[in-house]
Amino acid sequence: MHSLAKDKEGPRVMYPITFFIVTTALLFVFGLVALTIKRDLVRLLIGIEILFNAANLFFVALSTQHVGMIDPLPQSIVMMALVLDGTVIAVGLALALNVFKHYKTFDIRKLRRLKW
Amino acid sequence: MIEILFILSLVVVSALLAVTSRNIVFAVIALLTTNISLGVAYFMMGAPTVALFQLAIFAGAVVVFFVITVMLTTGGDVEFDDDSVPWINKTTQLVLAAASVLVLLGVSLTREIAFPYLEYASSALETLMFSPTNYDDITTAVSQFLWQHRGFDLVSQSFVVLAAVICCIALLKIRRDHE
Repeated sequence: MHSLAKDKEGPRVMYPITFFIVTTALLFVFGLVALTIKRDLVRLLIGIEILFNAANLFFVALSTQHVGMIDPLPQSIVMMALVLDGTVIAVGLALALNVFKHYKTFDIRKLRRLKW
Repeated sequence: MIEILFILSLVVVSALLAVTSRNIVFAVIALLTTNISLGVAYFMMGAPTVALFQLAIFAGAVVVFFVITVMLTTGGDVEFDDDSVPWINKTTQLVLAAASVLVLLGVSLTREIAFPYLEYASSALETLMFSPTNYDDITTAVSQFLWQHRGFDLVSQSFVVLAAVICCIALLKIRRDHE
């Protein structure tokens, strides 16, 4: 059985896809709930990051379903997605800082001046 | 098998805490736990480079951004005291419930129809698969693949990151000008 103590041997065990599917679904629902019911801008960004994590986990999990075989395409794509997700969150947090500067709150219901 | 179950359950529980915690600092710490657990899970699944990026970017940089934002603003205040439920109208509840049901339905369908794992892209991808003997082989192969087959994407991505950096600088500069 593969374990972290056997890293030198490389991954040998294919974990059942069901575990990852259930985890991805739960993460997706959590992120969706956070985006739907939260009003705090920072919490909305936390929900977005959880959604990113769900997508990346599912993509990597699908690529590791062959014993002893590695598909480098999903791993490289997820690596690029991670970098872009980081930039998205960084820009979102910079926007949140600006919003707090102008409105003194993170409550998205108070951002009325954006309306026209 | 037990290890991956433990790690994945830790991911789910910490993500739930990150969403439901009333104190924003606890939420950020729970998010950090989620990201670290996911990095360990990637490593166990045979994706060490993804695990490295996950730990460096999501568990490192992004969480530091969150902590700095919280420090510069609310600093650990609890969530808004007035209830957050009544502003969810019936339509929102319905859409949320429908989306959750669709996700769970998609999960069960994916499991039932035995999703063709290798056919999400072209059939030529199968020739790119290889059998690793250790984690060094995986890292080398993924790096080679990235530069040989995704070089243009990498260059484009660098421009996107540069644009994001300029955007952040502009946003924070505006903030300083107002002061």
